[in-house]
Amino acid sequence: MLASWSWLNELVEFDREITAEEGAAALTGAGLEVEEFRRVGSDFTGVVVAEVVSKEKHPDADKLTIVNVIDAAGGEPTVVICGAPNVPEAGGRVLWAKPGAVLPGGFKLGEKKLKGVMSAGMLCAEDELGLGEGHDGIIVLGEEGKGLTLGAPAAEALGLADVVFDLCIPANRADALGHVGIARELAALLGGRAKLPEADLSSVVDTSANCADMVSVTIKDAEACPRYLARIIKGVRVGPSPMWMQQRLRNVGVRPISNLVDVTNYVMFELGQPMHAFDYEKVQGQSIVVRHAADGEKMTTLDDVERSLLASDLLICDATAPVAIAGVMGGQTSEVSDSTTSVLLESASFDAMTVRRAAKRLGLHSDASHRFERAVDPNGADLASRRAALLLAQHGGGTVVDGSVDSYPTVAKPITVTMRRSRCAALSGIDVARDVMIETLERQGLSVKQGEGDMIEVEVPTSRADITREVDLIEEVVRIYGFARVPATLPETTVRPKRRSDRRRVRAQAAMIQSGYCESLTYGFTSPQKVAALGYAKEAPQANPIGIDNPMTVEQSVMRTSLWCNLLTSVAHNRKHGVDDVRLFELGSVFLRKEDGSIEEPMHLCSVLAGQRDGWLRPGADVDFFDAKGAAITVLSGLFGSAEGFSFRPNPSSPVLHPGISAGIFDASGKEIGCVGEVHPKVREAFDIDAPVFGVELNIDALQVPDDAQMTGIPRYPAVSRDISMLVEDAVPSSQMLEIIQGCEEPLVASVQVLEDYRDPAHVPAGKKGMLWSVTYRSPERTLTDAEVDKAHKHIEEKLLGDLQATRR
Amino acid sequence: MATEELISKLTSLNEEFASALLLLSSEQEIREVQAKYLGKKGMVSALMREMGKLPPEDKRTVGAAFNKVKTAIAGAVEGRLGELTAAAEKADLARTVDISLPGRVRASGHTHIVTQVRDESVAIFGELGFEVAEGPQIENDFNNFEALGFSKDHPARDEQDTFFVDDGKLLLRTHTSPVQIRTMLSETPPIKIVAPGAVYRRDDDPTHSPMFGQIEGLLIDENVRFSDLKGVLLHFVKRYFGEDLEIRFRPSFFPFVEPGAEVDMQCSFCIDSDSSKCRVCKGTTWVEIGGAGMVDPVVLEHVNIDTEKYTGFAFGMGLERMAMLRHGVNDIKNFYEGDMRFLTQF
Repeated sequence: MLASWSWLNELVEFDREITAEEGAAALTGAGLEVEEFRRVGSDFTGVVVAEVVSKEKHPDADKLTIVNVIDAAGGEPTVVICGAPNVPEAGGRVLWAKPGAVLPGGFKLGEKKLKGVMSAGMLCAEDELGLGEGHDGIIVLGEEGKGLTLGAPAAEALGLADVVFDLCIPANRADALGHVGIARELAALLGGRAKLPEADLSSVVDTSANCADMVSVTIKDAEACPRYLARIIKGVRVGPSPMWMQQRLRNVGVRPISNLVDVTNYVMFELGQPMHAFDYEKVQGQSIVVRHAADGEKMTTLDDVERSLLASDLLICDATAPVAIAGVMGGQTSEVSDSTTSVLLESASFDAMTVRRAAKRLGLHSDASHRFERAVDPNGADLASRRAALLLAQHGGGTVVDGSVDSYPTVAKPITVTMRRSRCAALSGIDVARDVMIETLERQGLSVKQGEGDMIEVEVPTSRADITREVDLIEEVVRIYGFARVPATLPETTVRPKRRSDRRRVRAQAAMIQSGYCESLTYGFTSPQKVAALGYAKEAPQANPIGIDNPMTVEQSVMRTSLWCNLLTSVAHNRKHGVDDVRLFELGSVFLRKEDGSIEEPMHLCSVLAGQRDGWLRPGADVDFFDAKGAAITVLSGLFGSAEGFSFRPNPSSPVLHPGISAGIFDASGKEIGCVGEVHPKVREAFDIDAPVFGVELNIDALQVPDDAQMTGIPRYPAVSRDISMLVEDAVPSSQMLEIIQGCEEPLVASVQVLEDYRDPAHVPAGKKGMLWSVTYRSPERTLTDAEVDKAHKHIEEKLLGDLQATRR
Repeated sequence: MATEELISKLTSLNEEFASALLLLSSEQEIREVQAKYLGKKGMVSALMREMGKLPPEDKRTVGAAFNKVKTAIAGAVEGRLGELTAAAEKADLARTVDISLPGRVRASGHTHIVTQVRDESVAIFGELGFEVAEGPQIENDFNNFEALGFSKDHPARDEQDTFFVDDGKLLLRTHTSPVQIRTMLSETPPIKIVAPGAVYRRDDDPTHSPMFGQIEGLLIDENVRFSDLKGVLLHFVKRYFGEDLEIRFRPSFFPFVEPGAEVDMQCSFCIDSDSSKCRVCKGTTWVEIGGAGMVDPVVLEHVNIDTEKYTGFAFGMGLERMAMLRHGVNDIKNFYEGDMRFLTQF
């Protein structure tokens, strides 16, 4: 909410002089944060009050007017050219920026020829003085302009200089949505007394008529409308509101319209009570009925839109039809206009939820609905009504019909809340003396009924709906006493650790970093097109992402079912920006719908790799399947100590990968826990990637990380290695050879390694490949003899050659 | 053979050896030649055998001559070997490389900066005994709002513009606070957790992203005070951002805490310079780092914890905000594009 410092100052009598800066700091410190502090109406010089002596059309320009102005009674007129359509007749008063004047932004005025006529400075519009947004015409001073001294500096003469606070009002502080509430806060914080604005109608009331004879009010649902107060003002002349009121409204972000509308807004910003003015003559049957709408009932709101209503909407109706959606927007039929002379002024309170639902559904968020949604104190309705009536009488020339019609079936009463001082100390960590505590509460407008011993009994006015419990009072004490005075202590707790940390994330992450991959974090959502491009079978959960009901963009409209989409998007992004070598991984949740309709969020690891390996002084070779497989093995080793126990088998279930250059990753129980391979060419084309991409996908949540690795002895005896070199059919996978070697069950074999997969056609016949294996033998008990190694190795060699019909190389 | 002849042969053998030695440049060759002269079947040994035939009065003289030659040869060998070693060392030390060529760097991976912030924060809170708890990102209304004091249609819900799922039955959590509820429902006090994780709000500008990371803290025990909350967050700020930084609490409203506060820390960008031009704190010398407060009784009631016996505090901070403050990242989008040029900077 925007607040004006000069306005606040009218509503509080400080014990000493307080600057706007001090006021802002105090409010921020108390939780009404001043997000912006802006001086207005003082950012210009050389602008004076001037009077129009005569005006004529510019001979050579349709839209320009030649205006003769004076800035001293009986002074010599000066010609100023004006482009605005609203130059007043002779005697009208305007704001003249004379040559030498400096306007906001440092714009300096001089004398300037406009279509052949010399113009001395200019006549100012709102925006040119930084007073508001308006540029429809120049500022024309109304009646109050007549009392000003000609030539007086505008800022001082009109009291334009002000400071505007942009306040962030917490959702529970409806009382601070009016200047009075903020003034009360300032008084409590800085020492002073809050005052209410003048609302005595005795000088403007017309006792020849009585409001009760002119209108009736019926509330059909007192829960939805606890109070409805109507008052009537007669003989109003619609015109501009006084300059000071317009300026205050502009300062708080409201565009001045007419005295009628401006007064209702002014009172709302002053007292926090939204007001609505109806044209009394247009209210049929002199009656107001507050009722719920019928489902499907229609009405046209004053923005000229026909609205279809629901039974949950609350309506203000006259004898024949709805005239407003309660708390949200008025209707067209009873709208005040330039010809309005009698006004029915509504000051009511409506149920917060009812207003909120309607405003939200209709997309009509206004200053009024904002306040009603946060609950308006029903006990404030009368003061607001009287205040508005007084202002209308003063500035709209009307008289106030005697009395009001006030339907208030259940009067809201202040509540009593009890606080224990000991509890306050225990919860806050500060011990506030009883008298200080009482004073703090009372300065807030709360009355302490009893302050004996540990208990303090407090009566809370209905305007402070945020205080209902002991803890709210404690908050109030600490807040006003000052959060800054709370010391910093450390908890004396008895907590014992309950969890062993899950190391999977840390280990998987470390393994990927070690493999040279950069961690990426991407959004949990993605686009349905991208999900579809991955090619999962129609019925697979991965092909049926969980949709967002209200996405911001299509790109973010479904939850990701794998990490591929966003990572492949990043590959494309990088390559488009000239980064060809991409190594990315992400560890994060994917969102899958289970068969029973529930949702699971397993943690996945996914990596993507494109471009070249590291090279030194020359480009490295293109990355391939084995780089990705290596990363997978590194991760499994990081998680399990070694990747033994996992197997890589052809034809993984994932459709994201190239069918021939991919493997499923299986755990010892035979469960597929991930895959590795080249991303399917069709998939990468869909993501607009111009090079092969190799990736790994692992369901980290499916991995049961084993007990901590246990130390085995460091070998004491030397190992002996022997090689086997042979020619085999090229279709024989190395895993088959390994199985044969392991199948020999030679107890001395410590490890087996492939050293070469050799297919040079110059040396290897077509359809064959050369395979070089190295077998390492070791005994934990003794140094091996050549004879026993030879025997074991011969067994393995012969088994391989026999089973595979291979030949020695 | 006469004595003179023997001595003269011996002398010439010595000379012969000396000149042969000069031509040799490896230890092996030298040892071979040495053996040829001094070995059992060597030339010197052969001459020695002749010594038996000499008259006894000459043996002493000739024996001395033999010893002299043997010592000379051994000495020459050692000397020659020493020369060779020195030369080899010299040659070895004369080697150079072009040290201006690039190093052979094995491209290292990088942990995402937000993960770094998360891990470091978790570690610092871990020092104070907070354990990590996690929860799902797709949540229900009860855990995300209702149990936290956001009744249906509470205006504070507006501040957390929500993504809904399954026709509004579920939602993407708007904060990590539902983890509080889950933990309090499944465990009994004392509870001391931090919950890091991704959260979602319908917001998108240079400082707001529709998804971002938060870290939430919760302590429920007997005698937990507002001042303890201040102490814990002060500890964190000093450990994470710098020991010379202070924090301040500004009263604020969150439905799940009372009293509630926004937490500011001193702006680390301008603490030693002119704050008036600081773009980070906009001249205020303070920057907001999160929200905090004492757990509202309404929350404890929702999870059946005795509000008289137990009190507690909760706090929440934005991980990206912390990264932005500490590392000068100015557009939150940078965090989520997977751009290697960004990721490799941290």
